[in-house]
Amino acid sequence: MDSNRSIPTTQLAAGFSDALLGRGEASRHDLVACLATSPHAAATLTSVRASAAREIPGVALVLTAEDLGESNRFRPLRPDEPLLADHAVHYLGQPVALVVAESEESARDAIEAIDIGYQPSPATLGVEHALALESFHAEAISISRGDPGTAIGKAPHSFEGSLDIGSQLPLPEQPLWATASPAEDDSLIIRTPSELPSRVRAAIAAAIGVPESHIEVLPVRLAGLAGGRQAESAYVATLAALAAKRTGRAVRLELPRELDLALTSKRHAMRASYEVGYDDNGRILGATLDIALDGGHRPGDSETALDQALLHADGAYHVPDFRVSGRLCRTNHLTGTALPAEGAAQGAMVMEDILSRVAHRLGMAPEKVREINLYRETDNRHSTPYGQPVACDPLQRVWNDLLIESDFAKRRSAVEQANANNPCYKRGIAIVPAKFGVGDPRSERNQAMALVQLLIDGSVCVRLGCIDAGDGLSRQVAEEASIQFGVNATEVVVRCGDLHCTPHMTARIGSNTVGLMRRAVADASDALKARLRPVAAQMLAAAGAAEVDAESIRFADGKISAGVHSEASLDFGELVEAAWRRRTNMTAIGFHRTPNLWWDREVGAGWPFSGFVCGAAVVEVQLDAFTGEIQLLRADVLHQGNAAAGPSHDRCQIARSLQLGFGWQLHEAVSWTDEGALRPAHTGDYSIPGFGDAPFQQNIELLPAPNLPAEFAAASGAESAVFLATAAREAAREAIRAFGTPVDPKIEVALPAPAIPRTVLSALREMSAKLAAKPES
Amino acid sequence: MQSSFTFELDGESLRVDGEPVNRTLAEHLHRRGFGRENRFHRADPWLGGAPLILLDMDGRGRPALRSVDSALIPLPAAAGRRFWSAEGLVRRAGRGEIHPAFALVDSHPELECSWAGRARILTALFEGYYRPDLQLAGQLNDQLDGCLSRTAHYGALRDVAAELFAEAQQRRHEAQLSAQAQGREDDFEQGRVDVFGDEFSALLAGEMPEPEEFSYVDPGKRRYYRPHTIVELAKLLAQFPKGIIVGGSAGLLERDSRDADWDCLISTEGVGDLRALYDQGDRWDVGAAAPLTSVNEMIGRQYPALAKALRRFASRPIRNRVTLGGCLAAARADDELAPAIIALDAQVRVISMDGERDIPVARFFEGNGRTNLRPSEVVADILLPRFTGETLKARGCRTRFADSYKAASRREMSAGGVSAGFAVELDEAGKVTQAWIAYGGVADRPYRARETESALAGKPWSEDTIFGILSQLSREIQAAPGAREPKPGLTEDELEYRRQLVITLLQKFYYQHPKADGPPVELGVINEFLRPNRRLYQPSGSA
Repeated sequence: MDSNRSIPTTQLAAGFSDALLGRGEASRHDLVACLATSPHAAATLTSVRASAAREIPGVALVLTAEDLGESNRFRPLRPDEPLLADHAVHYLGQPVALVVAESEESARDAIEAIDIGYQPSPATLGVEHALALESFHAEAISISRGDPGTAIGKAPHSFEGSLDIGSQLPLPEQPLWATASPAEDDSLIIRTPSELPSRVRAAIAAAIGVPESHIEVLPVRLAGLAGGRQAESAYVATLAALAAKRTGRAVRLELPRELDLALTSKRHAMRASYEVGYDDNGRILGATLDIALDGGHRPGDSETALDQALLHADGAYHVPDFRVSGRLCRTNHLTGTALPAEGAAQGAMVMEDILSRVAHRLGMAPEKVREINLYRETDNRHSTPYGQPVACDPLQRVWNDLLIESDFAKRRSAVEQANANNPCYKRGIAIVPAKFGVGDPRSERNQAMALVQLLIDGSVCVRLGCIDAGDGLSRQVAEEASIQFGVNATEVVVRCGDLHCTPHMTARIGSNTVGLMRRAVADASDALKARLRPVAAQMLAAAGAAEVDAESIRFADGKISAGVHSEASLDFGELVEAAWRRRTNMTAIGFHRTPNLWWDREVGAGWPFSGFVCGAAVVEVQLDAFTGEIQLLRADVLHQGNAAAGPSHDRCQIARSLQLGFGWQLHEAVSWTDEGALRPAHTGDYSIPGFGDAPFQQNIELLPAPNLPAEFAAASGAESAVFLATAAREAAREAIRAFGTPVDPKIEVALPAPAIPRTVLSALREMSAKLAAKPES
Repeated sequence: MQSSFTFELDGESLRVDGEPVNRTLAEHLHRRGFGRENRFHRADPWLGGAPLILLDMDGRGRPALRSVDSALIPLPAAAGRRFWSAEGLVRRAGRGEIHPAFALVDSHPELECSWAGRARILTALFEGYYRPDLQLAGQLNDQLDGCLSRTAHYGALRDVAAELFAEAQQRRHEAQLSAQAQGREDDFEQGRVDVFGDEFSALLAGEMPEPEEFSYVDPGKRRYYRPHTIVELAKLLAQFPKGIIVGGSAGLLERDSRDADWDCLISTEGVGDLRALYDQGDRWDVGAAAPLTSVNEMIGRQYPALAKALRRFASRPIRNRVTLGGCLAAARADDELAPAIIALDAQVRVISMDGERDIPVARFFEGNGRTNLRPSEVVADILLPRFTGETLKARGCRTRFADSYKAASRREMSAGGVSAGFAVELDEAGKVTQAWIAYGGVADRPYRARETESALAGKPWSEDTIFGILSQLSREIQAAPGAREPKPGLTEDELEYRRQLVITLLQKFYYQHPKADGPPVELGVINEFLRPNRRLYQPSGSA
């Protein structure tokens, strides 16, 4: 192979040229669409009068629920939800009318001219409110084992508690947008950033009543993988498509940032209340957990989030008698979405809260209490409450190795010593383990498709049935293909999200996409190699090699050879060209599905995951008691990973997720006003972690796991790291306690998530008040 | 008046003809089809506009390459200026001209993130590569804090950046040695030596062209003026009393330029005198139009309290544009720099055709967004006294110390919280002769607690003294104008937190300066973990 071949090596360059292609990209001559949205969180629509708006010069179309009639349904994603509000609005910002005009100015004038009558009604503003009103979407579901009520009753100690976990904004870099252009043959070309373009296509086809095959959704590179681009993209694209269909012209719908914040789904806020019984050693004997997620105005994807919360509510711990039940609260918020580790991270945080409090009440070190409760092979402590067994050795190994590698014991005593001498700043250190299910409880999400093409010069083109998010997926898949064919990774080009080649897409979040895609590529490569081997055998034989067994032919280092003992070899490009001349099909579809998955949410039992990945994190923080600011000093993560292939990718994925998690745990506060408006109203008021907030020292190591199947690679590890950031909040809690333990070594601190400076300072004050109220002992 | 102009982007001259004045450079570039992937051409506090490199002038009048946010640049302000973009660096690489910053980003897959994120990273690394003063690990934050991203791996970025900047410092060191050998040490010190031998360092080693007067009128009769002398500026202000004075244009971040009513913009950035910092012996005259980066480069070491406030102010591309005069004139209730400026006992010098007057900075503010600037007046300088043994002695005190504080939910890019500036002067007996206690974000203006300051006078500098005045301080701040709503929409919890910070920040000041002398006491262990004084590049043979 020609080693001097000039290769567009850079992802950077690739990203840039993609951006320049601009097919289906908006142009100045497109119609501009704007939305009229509800200023109320809950109201009945008394009237929608749009006639004045239609008279405004430059207005091409005004759509209301009435105009859409029967097609006013957001099918198939949320079939009971109208595209434009019909009788009532259920959240602030809900679209009521769509205006399409020649210019943004005319569109905005028309929006002003639409007369919408609202009869506001009381709104349900959050989980707590919904619980008080008993406003739910469906019956509770639960997972249980044994008789936790009795176990708690018989336990030497017990207590009740609760934990509030805040929402999180995905905050994609681009506000939501879509363009729809009619093509000659009556079809539509759509561009929109979406994590799942196949759903965009389905929604548009359903709304305008044409077969899906007539809708072309072009791939758009996502700017990062933080969620918020599933249903909402389909929604915005559907509106743009309806407008394009009705006007016969290209339409661009671009949300201003404030509306983008309102219409982009968020992480589910959660309230958990629990009762727990434990013995003198800190061993949990029984626990009941009641979980309530903010299900928004429609359940949507929230059912999966709830499933994941329940399936991870045991954390990495075995509780003999256990029950977790969960409900989706009906609130006047937009329905929630999948951010990385959605539901699972919230669910798993509850046990961490419980174990910290158990440790504090007993005056024990939290890591000792965690350790004693970990899943283990012995004593029949290795099965989840829903019946799927946990491979406990990796969990134990990750835990033990990290304690050693992070120098935990020594650092903990150093922290204690420093705290004793510092009245103003306290440090805290905590270790948290993770056991995360690989895959998605919705079995249809655990499949992947890839198209692999060999070109005559020996280069490889891979097309994946998923979207690229600039997160390393393409590089990892290129690596897989290069291993399969023994070629240099620079010979491989990976293209993502092209619905022509791969009509069904795999979601990027929640599913273990990287692992699934690698398997799909391996599947296609196997098929291609099977076609190439007989050709190679003939060619090698012709070149003078003795008896060549087609099965023994190896693809490595750009060469094809007949096993280790053979001298003769072929160039990969040479082989592909010869095969093509012999009329061999050089294209293969690869497919992978994770076998034997089932999950019965009614019964609360199943085998929902292909397995579990384990990891643990040690985080050390410093608390400034004057401001409540938490500074991350050092983070150590040890995680199972596919160290053989692309360890740096795995490490990066873990680092990115950890950062998302740190933001959720320490910085990013989401709330709603009494009127139901989102706070922050502006992105400037919302603090995702910046460069200076990253831990000063960060060590991410992978636990080599040679037998780990490829589908356990990065993505799964990455998502669990969102949860591992809980260690930062637990460390912050230790730091807060350090102000109180000299007076009362068993002092407890309730700390909601996120632990933003204000929350931390108020927790500190609450603790001081508690200590002051306590009689001197 | 011109109705068209040109600017240069990536070596190409771009003509602007008939474009409205009330448009930003970011918007204009977007309309030209530049950076299509970044749809966010409007100003947004989270993403801003496309990041660019601008050939600008530093506080000494030498050329400097600064990363800037194109959403902070009114389009006519680009006239005659030279810019480079991340896209341009990529295109260069395609032609085989691989810039070291690009090469580094490209060879580190762990830096992979969204295009917008990579553009910010590339421009930040590019700027840092040419910065002579970027030598310590503790300065990495200052250079990279604009790289806000959901997907960037900050830890990897820190390592990669350290590697690049070390390489740059090594080449700088080698250039210094060869300059010494040629007897060109002075040239090297003044930045007149081409360190890297590329077209950018050639520009840096050259001279900045003299700025020229520029004015532009758009088809809607909106005007933009960029005078280059103070006299011209004052004349324009007299002629257009309603003209909007623009410095770093930070206000653009908060207003959607489409809605802005900009009939007449008068820019201060061409006025050389207002961009410079002058050492007047007993004080520094800080030009109102000097970007914050220049201010920090020139006087940061002498005023650690100001340098500390600047370190947590917004981000590098914003500090490269925003000016001290602009901040003070905007008079935001939660301005982060004003408290530190108050603690430094500064005066604001304002000028007009009628002459000049000096106003103590705390008296300059009259409410949120309101100052006592009269029509046709403009802030010309901020006068910062220099505190030396003699000047203090003349005032009957022995020592003076000042510090600044900020509490926010993240380190940088967090406007709208609470900030504070404190200073104390002590006499020989260790008693307070005068104190400065100022806050941002707790009233309708940057607020000085004068009653509490008076109460401190004559008392010994001790823990008891501080604890003794806290309740008075709290009462005084709560009685300040606008204290019930320093920012619209705060919840009761948030207000309570602000009230608490008023107290705790002053306590923190005491604990960091319990004695009258020496640098502030480092209360935590951040230095131990961050090692900020570690040199990025250690010349071999030197200790």
